[in-house]
Amino acid sequence: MTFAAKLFFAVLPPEASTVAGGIDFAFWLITIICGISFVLVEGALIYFVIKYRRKKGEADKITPYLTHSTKLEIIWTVIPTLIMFVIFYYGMITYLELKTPPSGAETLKVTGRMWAWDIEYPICERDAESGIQECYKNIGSTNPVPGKGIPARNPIVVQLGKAYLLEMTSLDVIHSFYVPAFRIKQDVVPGLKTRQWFQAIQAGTFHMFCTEYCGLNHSGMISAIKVLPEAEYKAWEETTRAKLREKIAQQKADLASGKPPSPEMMAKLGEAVYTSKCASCHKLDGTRLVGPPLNGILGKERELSDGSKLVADEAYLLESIVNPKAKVVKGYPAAMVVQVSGDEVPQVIEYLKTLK
Amino acid sequence: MAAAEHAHNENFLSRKGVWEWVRSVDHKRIGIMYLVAILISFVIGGVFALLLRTELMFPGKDFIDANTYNIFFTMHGSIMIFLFIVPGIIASFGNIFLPIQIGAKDVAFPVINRLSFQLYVVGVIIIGFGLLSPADTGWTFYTPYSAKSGTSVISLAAGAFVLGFASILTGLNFVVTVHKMRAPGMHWTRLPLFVWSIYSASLIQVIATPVIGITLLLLIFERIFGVGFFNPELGGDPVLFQHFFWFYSHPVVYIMILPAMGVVSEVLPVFSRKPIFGYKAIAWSSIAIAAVSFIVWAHHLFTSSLSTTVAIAFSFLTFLVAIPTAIKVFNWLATLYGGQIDLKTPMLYALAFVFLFAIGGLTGLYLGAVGVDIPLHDTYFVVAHFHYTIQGGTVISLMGALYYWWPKVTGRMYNEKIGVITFLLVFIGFNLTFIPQFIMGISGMPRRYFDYVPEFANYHFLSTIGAYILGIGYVSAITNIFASTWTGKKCGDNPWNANTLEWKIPSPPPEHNFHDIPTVTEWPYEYGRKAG
Repeated sequence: MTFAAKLFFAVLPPEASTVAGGIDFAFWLITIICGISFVLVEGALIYFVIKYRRKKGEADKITPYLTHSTKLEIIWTVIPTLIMFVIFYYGMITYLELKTPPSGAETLKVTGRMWAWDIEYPICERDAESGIQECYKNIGSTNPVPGKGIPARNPIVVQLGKAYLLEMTSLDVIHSFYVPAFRIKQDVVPGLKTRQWFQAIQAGTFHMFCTEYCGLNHSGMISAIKVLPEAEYKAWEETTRAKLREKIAQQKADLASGKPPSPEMMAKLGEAVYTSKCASCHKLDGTRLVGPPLNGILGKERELSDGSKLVADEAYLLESIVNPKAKVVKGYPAAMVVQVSGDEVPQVIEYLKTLK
Repeated sequence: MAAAEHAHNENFLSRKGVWEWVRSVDHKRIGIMYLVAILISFVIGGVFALLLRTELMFPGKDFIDANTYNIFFTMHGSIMIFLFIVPGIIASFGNIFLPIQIGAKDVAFPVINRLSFQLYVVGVIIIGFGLLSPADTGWTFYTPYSAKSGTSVISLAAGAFVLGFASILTGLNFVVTVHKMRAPGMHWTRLPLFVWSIYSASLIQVIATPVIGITLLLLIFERIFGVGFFNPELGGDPVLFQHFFWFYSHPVVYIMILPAMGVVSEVLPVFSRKPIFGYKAIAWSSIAIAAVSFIVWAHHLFTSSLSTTVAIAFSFLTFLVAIPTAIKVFNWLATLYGGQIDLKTPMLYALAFVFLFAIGGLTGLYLGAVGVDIPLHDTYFVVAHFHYTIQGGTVISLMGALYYWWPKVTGRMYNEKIGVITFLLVFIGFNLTFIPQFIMGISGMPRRYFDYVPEFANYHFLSTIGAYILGIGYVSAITNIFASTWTGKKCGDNPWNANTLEWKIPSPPPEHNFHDIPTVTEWPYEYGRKAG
């Protein structure tokens, strides 16, 4: 393989899933067909233009009076039609492979939201005595910076060679789950459950993009899939389970002591929620982003888009979190969508109180 | 004869003043107003494209923020689609030359024709109001995002709704004109292929546009009254919107491209001094494309949530539309064979059309094959494919039409040397812009991204450089042709020695085109039989 060919072949992402090879075969087949057609069509175009070019100062010529040829028309209708059938066929079989999950695939529940992916694993720990169950969930961080490459934080871990079935839905608008190295892409639609499967055949970390435009931070809705060989995956799973057990133990201890969580605890929980769900629009250093900065918000005077003024109190914060469009601060777009779930609201407010 | 006609029938531009333009129902004046309006839109839409490309030149935020970027790509798409390319060649050169080419004094309904342009202006104004809080939904308005976005989606949708009516009225007018206003002897088999292509596109305009009108109205109802059509929170179905939207928006790409093919079918024979090859095949393939264009829309939805059966069926239907397109390309090539090819600027654009459109068509084969489409869908591959067909096709053809016909409109010739140089800038800039986009699309670069991972940086850089060259090329090419209106040398009635009827009347054309309606005795492609 020459260097040029290497460069050209390297254009495709790595073939990291079972379906990638078939799709790439179809891709190269179409490329060969297109390449030949390209050379023939553009070659004829350029050849005719050069050969029959009118030279400078040349007198008008009598050109051949050719108006039609049924034979030619049939030839150049039938041959492309047959080629189309071939391309269609390979498109169809690769698509069927993409859309037919093998039986026994492990189900991952995927939830898209503005602008992160949450993945629920069937990795659960249950405390038989208290009945508390905790399952591992990969909560996406909302604000990775694409320019900095694959976000190092929190990649989605899967096992090499294991088939996974993604059951997907969206909390807000349409997103699309795209892993170029796996050649898979499936829209994630609110109110609908869509499915996609994959089986990784190459270890490594691969990009995962959202490919359906979903608003402000669409291009930041990226993540990474980390494919681990079986032994490493098992080790990762064991660590994950240990963390779950720790969490259960903590909950049990809290339950046993019978006291409600302290404001400090609430604020600590709130900080995590804020970082993953609010920080991509609301900075805490007093500078504006899409939304107003929220440091020291409590007790501040706000001017609203209708010109009225109010002082931000807890009730105002609560309303603005659960119904963001009710009172919009002047000079900002009414672009916010509810992100925070019921339990998290008081935590976030508790956190905001601690900020100066 | 020309001199005698002048005496009875003065030049359509001779009455001066703004009011003459506003009140005019002359198809040529309406066509010119459309032409100027769409070219202004083209330049504005192009400026947005350059702003986007400037931001994308390097990874990370370095020029505009994400919110502004999203607004700008929405403006770029909406202006280019709704204000520029949908009216495009049909409303401009279709208006100016279709009636003359069939030997008529005007379109069938001149007042409705003026109403069409007035509605276009109203649509522009409504969209303009939206700029107070510009929409960020993309020109596709996908729900439920468009139902939730806090920006002025309603104004953009309402503007597009009104523009739809402008489009329907133009289409309706042309369909009736072609059926009823042909000169004696202008049989269907003697119609210039430009007329055939406008006729096919007009049929699509009349049939498909009402669907987008209704869809946008439903969207507006949903936003204002909270009626759940598309928003799942209200019990609606967001994918239904995509079906409705593409039921119009796929055929609409043929509204854009068919007239461009028509221009090329006129220019190639004139500058090759040969009859068009396969007249009937080209005419019928226009009609075939128009018909098939209505049953391929779901190929835009392969990743949405279609059942496998539906996806495969639509993949099959999609390939059907490729066949008449291929037939046209082969016939154009055969037209060149054995000719005496004169590489004047209009011909360069026509040849560039064939060259670039072939690339656009061939890359469509990847996207029609459903399994291969999945990884490519919504990446820069699609962006590049679309721009090769619509810009490399329609816009290049529109430029060719400008250089071919503007000397007819004004009676003055443009500067050929500048014409060729600016053409080269456009051609080189175009390929440099979009070839890197094909490659990064294959590598997995999603579209509508404000920022991107570093491995795409080199492609984006090249693409931005190409876009600057392209922008300079277009602006200088358009300036060159319009400057000829005042600075060009007089070039007589028929500088290209062409045979369609518009070249047989004086330049600029008389107000009522023909003093006496001509009788047509042959098709318009009798080229090269005798020298001279």
